[in-house]
Amino acid sequence: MKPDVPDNLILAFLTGTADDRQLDELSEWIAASPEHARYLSAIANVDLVLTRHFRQRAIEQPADEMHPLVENLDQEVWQEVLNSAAEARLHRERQLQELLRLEQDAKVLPHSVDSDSAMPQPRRQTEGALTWREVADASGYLLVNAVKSAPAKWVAAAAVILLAATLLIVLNTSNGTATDPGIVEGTPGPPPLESPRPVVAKLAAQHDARWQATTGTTAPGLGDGLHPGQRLTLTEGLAEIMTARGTRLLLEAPCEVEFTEDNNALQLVSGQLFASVPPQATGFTVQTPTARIIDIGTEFGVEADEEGTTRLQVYDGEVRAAPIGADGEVGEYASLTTNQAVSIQLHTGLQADVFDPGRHEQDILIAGMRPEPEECEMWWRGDVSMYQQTGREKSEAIQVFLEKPGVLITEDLPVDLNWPGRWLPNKQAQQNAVVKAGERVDVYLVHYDPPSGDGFADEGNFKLRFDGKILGVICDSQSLAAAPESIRNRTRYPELAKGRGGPGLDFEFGDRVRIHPNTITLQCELIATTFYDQMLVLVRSRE
Amino acid sequence: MRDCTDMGSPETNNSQMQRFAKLWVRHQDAAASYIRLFVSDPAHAEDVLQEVAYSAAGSFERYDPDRPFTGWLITIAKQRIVDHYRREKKRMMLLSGEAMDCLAQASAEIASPGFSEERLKALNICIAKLNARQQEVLAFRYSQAQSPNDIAEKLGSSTSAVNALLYRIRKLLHHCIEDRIEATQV
Repeated sequence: MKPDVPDNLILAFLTGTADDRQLDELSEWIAASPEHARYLSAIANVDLVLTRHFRQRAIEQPADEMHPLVENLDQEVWQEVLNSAAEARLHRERQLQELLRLEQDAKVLPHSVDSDSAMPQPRRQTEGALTWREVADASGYLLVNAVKSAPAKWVAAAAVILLAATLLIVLNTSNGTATDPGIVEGTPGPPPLESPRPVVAKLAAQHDARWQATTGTTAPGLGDGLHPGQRLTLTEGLAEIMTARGTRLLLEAPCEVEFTEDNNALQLVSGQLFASVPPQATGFTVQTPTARIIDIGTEFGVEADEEGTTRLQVYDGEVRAAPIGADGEVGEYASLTTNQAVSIQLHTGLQADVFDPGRHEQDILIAGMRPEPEECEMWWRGDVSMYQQTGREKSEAIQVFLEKPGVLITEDLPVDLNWPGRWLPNKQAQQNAVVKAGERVDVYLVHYDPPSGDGFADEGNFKLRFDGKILGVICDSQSLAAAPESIRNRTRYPELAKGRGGPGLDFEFGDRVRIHPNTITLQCELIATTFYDQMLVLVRSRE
Repeated sequence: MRDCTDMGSPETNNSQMQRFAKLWVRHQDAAASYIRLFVSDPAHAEDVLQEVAYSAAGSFERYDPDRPFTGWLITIAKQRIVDHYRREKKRMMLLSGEAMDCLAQASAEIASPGFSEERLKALNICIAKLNARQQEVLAFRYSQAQSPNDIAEKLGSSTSAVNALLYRIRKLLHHCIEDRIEATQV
């Protein structure tokens, strides 16, 4: 049984701030039960094992666990970092080890080999090209491990590694794996034919989209109505389609869809889409060559590959899915709920699959036309991939506002981050970035509100994709204060923020903001405590 | 290789030192845990532990093998903790004699031979369950050896809030460790 613990007394004692009265009270509590003394000793022991845990991590950075990036770096630099760290960490133990050397097999440091297997793996090893996250994590990991209470050379060495990491990203992306400037966005096909057919959906937004125009099909333009029987083949980029019933579909190339007479249904010929279905569109149906999927009010991702396998993942709510046989007959429906996944094949039918939250990213495409922009020009509001530990299924934690569209930057504008970049509030990796004069930008405000404000569990992890290159992000309150009024609109902040003292930013340690190498994706890992987090995102205007 | 005299260690014969080394390795965690109760800074706590090792090695001939070694170590630790506070010119958190004895006994129990290793294994798993902020505050404190004051500056918070946060994390970890060890034993 856990003892009733006087936390305030213990805290005052452990931090050396207890007064005589508190010490007397604590003494009484300790003496009252062996359990009490045991509890306090156990808390002290946690302190001890924590020290050992982190020392173990610092010393046991073995060569065979090096990140591939590190292996390519100047080995002398790397060795110096390692040596310095290990030397400093070992310094305190060295004399004692000497003393105990007589006992040859004595385990001076309690670093058992077994404990390695229980260590959380900080990252997975990759065989191919590094992702930005992996490189960023690697450099951050090195920084954390190298920049101790440390000689300047560690910091310098870590900085070299970070620089190399950034350079690698630049080289990787300039290789054509990211945005290729040669792509013509939204390449128009033949002009849309006038048609009496009903409009069942509209193309709401697109980014770097290329549509394949084949016989009988037309490449849609932004805002174009989409008709029953119309087949769209997205060969590159992203597109967002809003159905007449309000279902939001995010298509990622390569993807081929066909609209039907039913304005609440869609055929996914191949490729993948993410669907967010509002209550009024309950019953929205996606049919693939091997499955029929009926929404019961939810968010789900579905992909159909060339080999006839349909994969379905439910992010929220409920979905019913049934296999379609070779004769076109629809089989028995199975019900799937949040975080469940199935794969459906022609011959094997429906089989449980592993839910993979990363398979269909719940990205938000902040772009282009919306059917009914709200009065305050809030572009998007909702909950995105909140960490499970929050225990909250839905919220309005993320809100995106269009602050000011088409602002001409007249002087170089300092920002906290531009592409490619990763911003941390402790500024270890912050870049001195600017948006150049002459750029025309759309300024968005991204607002993240802590749902409970208890300070420990309110973490949000989300991605926003914009329909233009992200030129800069302003995350820091000082930068925001220094930013010209031309890019800000002080009146368009959420009511909740006003109630907490008006516009402001509360980025802090633990927050991370990244612009992906594709230049349009902003990834945020935010931890809001007692206040909200806000940032301004400057996106190149599409004019 | 340096010998013990380089470090000012007292002259002891080989077999005595071997015996001390064995006992020390098995029981040092009791003293280390006890010291952590009174010395909050990890680096200072390790300094005090080393001083206990020197003192204990130097006076090992006076140790009565019929009495528990941990009790003897903790007696030495109490003296070295007082010395530490004198050096630092800080006010020591003095508890009643009865409470100090209870804590000494509890430290010996909690840090019985092999127990810290078991707790360390459990801790590795428990740390992974903390959220990112909690993990990074721990890294600040225990990996980068930053003071609560320094951490507070980074967080834009107060020292007392950081101390409270660290205590809260330690509580979380303690309960998690206990649960895991209990589950293993079952």
